[in-house]
Amino acid sequence: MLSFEKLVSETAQQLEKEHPELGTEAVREVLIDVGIDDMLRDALPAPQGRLLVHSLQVTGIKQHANGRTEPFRYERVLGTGLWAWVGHNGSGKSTLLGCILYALTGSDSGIPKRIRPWLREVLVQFSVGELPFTSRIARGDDGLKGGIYRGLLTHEQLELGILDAAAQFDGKEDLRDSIDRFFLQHLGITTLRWTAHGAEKDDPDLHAHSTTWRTYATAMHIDDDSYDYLIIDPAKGFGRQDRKILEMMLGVEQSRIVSEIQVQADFAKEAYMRARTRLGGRRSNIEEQIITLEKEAREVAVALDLIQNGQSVVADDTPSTNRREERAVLLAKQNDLSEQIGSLNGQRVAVERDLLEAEREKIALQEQTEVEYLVNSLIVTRCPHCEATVNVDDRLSHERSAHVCHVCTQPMQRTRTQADMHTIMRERDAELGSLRGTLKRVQTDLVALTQALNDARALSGILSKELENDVMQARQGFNASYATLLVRKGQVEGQLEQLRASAAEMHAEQVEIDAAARWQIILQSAADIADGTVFETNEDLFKQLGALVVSLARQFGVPDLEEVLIDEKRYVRMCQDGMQFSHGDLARSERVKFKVAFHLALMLLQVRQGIGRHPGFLIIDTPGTAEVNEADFVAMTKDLATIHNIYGDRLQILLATARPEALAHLPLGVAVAVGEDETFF
Amino acid sequence: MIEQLTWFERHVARLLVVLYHGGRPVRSLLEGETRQFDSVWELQRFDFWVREPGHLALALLDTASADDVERRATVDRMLLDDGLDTHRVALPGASYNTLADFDASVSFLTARALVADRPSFTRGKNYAHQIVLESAGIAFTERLLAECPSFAWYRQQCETVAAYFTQLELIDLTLMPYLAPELTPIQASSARLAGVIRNRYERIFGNTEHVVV
Repeated sequence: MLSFEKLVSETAQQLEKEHPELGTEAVREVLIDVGIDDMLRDALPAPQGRLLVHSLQVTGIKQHANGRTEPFRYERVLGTGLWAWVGHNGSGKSTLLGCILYALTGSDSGIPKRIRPWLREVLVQFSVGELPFTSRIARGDDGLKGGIYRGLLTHEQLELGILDAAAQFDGKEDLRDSIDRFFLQHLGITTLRWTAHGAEKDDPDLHAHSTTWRTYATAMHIDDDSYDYLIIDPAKGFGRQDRKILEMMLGVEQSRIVSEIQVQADFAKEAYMRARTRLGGRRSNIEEQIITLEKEAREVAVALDLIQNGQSVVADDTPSTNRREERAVLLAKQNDLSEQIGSLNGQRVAVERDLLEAEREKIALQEQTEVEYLVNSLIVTRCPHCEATVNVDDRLSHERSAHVCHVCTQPMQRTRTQADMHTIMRERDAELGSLRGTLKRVQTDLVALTQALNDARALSGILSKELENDVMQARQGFNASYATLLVRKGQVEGQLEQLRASAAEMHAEQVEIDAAARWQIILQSAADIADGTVFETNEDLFKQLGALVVSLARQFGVPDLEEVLIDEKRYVRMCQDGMQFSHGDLARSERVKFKVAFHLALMLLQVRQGIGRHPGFLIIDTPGTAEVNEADFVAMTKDLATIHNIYGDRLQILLATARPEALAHLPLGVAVAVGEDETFF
Repeated sequence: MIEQLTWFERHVARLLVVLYHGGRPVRSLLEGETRQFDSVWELQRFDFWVREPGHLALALLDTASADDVERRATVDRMLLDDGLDTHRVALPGASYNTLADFDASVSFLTARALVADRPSFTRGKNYAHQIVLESAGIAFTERLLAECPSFAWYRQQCETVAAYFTQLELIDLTLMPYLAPELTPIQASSARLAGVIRNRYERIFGNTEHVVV
């Protein structure tokens, strides 16, 4: 069991090794300062109340797509045990469950957006423990109004206006706050706090959040959209809200103290980190400035000494030598580049010339192809000199018979054909393509080399200018330099004086930061120890919950599940065939069944053994319509019927399902159903 | 000589087109319609401007003024044609061989009764021969122009030269004064001329955006 003195001594003991400067008194002082001693003293168990809905009444005006309107009124009397709505998708069963949650939490997220404007009044009669109440939310032209009134009242009684209001609201925000306050008070539930950074970009601060009644209400509502409320998956990380809900529902009384120490530790850490970052940046900046200025002060003093002793200010010519060497390298590079460019230019001219020749050759070939045969078909008919006629027939017949030319007596040769010409043409085309490619490459290389040459020239120009300046500075004597150096000496000394004063101020700030660091370390250690102690104290409770979940989940269709462990971080781990896995590893349908089992177990633990603060009220909305097979759904329905038979007088379960086979297994009188074309309202 | 000229038939064909378009038309009862050049020298010079489209463009621009619409249109056509450098017909031998040697070509055509090479009785060393495209030669050239589409370019070039030949005749081709100041005759024999022509065109007529190929 956690006590203040135990927490102080264990925290001091843990910190002894790494932070011996933090003794028991320092730990006690910090924990008292944040009010942990008072909280532990005041942590008394509060009374637990059971929630039971007696009736639901919804009135409104339907708005059809064609513009037609139609008033409606739905009413159903409920009581302890199991109650069900069986109807197809769109019949309105989930909307009715959403209306009950609306009246009990102030949140209308369970009602489809399309339906919300239809509603005029939602009236839910309920009791907390032995006390009867009626929650009424009415929507008029002037907004939402209503309240929670003592007694089980009808619409007509409420209209008479003689009311004893336990909570009253006017407007949406007021509605939620009023209902929150009412249920936290009447169900004996306290708020728990946790911290988180702002989600907005311009709000990086750490904020403390508190659990509300709406947060806890997630433990009494299972819908189809999410499978992991309360079941904290180690793969997903630390579910702070879910952990708070789980512990509150299990009645872990000292959760509030643990969460408060953790919140204080978070804030202390945040404050320490910010101060350290702020000071760290400034300090290193000031220290750097002091070092730089001290160096400059020394250099100025040396330069002044040199001038006074009649020596040149330019005592060290290393920078000039370096620049000369650099320029020499650049000039050599320029020469090399110029040579390469010259060579490439020669190459470019040659390629361009070859290309031009090849283009002309192609045109010549084209012309030759067209005229060769035509011109060669001309027959010699006379002497070109004396114009005497040549006997064409004799000449041709002689050539045909002897296969030699009648003039030179050489053997006759085959005339070039069109195909020959086309082959030559293709060769020229290939040559042209190759030359164009070469020219392009050469041009690209030229551009790159020219750019490199220009860069080198620019750089060597700058270096030459700098060298010129060096020489000019050396020649100008040191009268001007002496005056400048004296002025600079005064400036440096003034700046150093200011900076040293700032450094002293920061030293004082550093002392404060050290104190913040101590707070952070002590509170975080205390939070860890308190959390561990609370877990050890309640380990059996978590084990009981795990065992109950296993037995229910097996019946619902997760037969191989061997063990469910809730560890010191409240992570839910499962074992099957000796293997450990997490909730996220289950198939979608198994996650639905596991979720129902987990919620039922949480509620049954309270109902059967009186453990925890669960209000004994659960809404199960269309559990796994598509994912759960018929056999598993029947098993689930049968178990709900069994729970109804055994514990029906101590709890209330409201079930909505689209599967008509549920009707065969639900107890008589608990279910209402509608046909395929009907709706509930 | 025939072996020295690569693709001899192409040169013969060009000669026929030059004779057809550049020759003076003569009609006689005996020979029918013929076309004739009064000297080989005249034929060679006409042929030079046909073979050297770049030189022709530069010569036309050399004496052009900004308001010379006709000449501008002629150079526009030549720039758009994009053959200023590629259509140049280079002759074998040294670069100063400006004028073509037509001995082999004329003999070839004379033996085939398309051309007659006649002695001239006009005084002067450049006027020793008359080159006549005979009726059969005219018919053959017309057939050649109809069947060989590549030679349409020579036809167009010949028409341009013929239009300006009275001025081109006066140019001394040994000095080629129209090339200055950008080029010398030796440079012009191997360099691309299109860039120089465009620059000169822009100086006289403004931008050449409308004649970019």
